[in-house]
Amino acid sequence: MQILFDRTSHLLDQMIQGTSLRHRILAANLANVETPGYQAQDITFSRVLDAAQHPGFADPAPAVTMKATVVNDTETTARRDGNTVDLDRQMVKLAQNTQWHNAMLQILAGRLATIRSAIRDRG
Amino acid sequence: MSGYGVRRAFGAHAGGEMVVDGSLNALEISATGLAAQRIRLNVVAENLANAETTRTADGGPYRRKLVVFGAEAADTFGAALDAAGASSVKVLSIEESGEPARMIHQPSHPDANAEGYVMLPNVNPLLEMVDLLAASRAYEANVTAVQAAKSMANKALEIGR
Repeated sequence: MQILFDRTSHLLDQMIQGTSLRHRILAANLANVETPGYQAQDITFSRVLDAAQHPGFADPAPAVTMKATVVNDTETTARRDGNTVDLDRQMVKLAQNTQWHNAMLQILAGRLATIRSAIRDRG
Repeated sequence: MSGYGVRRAFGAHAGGEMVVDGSLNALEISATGLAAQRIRLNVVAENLANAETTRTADGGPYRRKLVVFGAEAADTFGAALDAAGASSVKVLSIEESGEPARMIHQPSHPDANAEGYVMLPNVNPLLEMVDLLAASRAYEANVTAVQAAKSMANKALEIGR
């Protein structure tokens, strides 16, 4: 069952969780598009070597983990009311994030389909 | 692989759950945005409807109302360590504009004063229309976020097929 508990599955899981978290942050920005003084936020992903051993992993190499961090979105300047949410930028990010999330789920579903066809014992 | 290993692998993931007690998920955050913008649309409609109202229960002409939004943390304290940062939106108050009433010379009006001037509401229909448009666009942005969340959830459901 290496295909279920390998580094790729681990990374896919982390990416799906990360894009879910990012959607939540982007939804919060859109909810606060007219809130005075609101600071727009985003998520940055960074690669960290997972120091913790995962006994489930057949692969002896250290697992790479995606770390999601909430940061202030500083690429836009504040409006007169101190709000930094740029509606157009947020909509693009929202669309991008949704595509990423769905792509990761598509890959995960493909891997599971492979296992399912092996279990069924027919091509 | 041992059964113990399987449990450990799943246990490590459970700690990363996003939705924890009392915290709002993405759909609920979008819902607060929808509700807030709808309240704003209602207030704009009220202002426009009363643009010529000269008598109110408080006496004097109608006064323009304004909605004040505020951000509210969407995470409970315990969950904030895990998924910090997201804020829902809340209508803090609906306040009356302090702008002076419009004075129109119309001696035949029942509410005209001794000099023939009528105090009309401090509502500027042009400003209200701009506000209406902004509220409508913000509402649509939140609808898009809801649709994206639904699409993401539906994609996850496809895994089981």
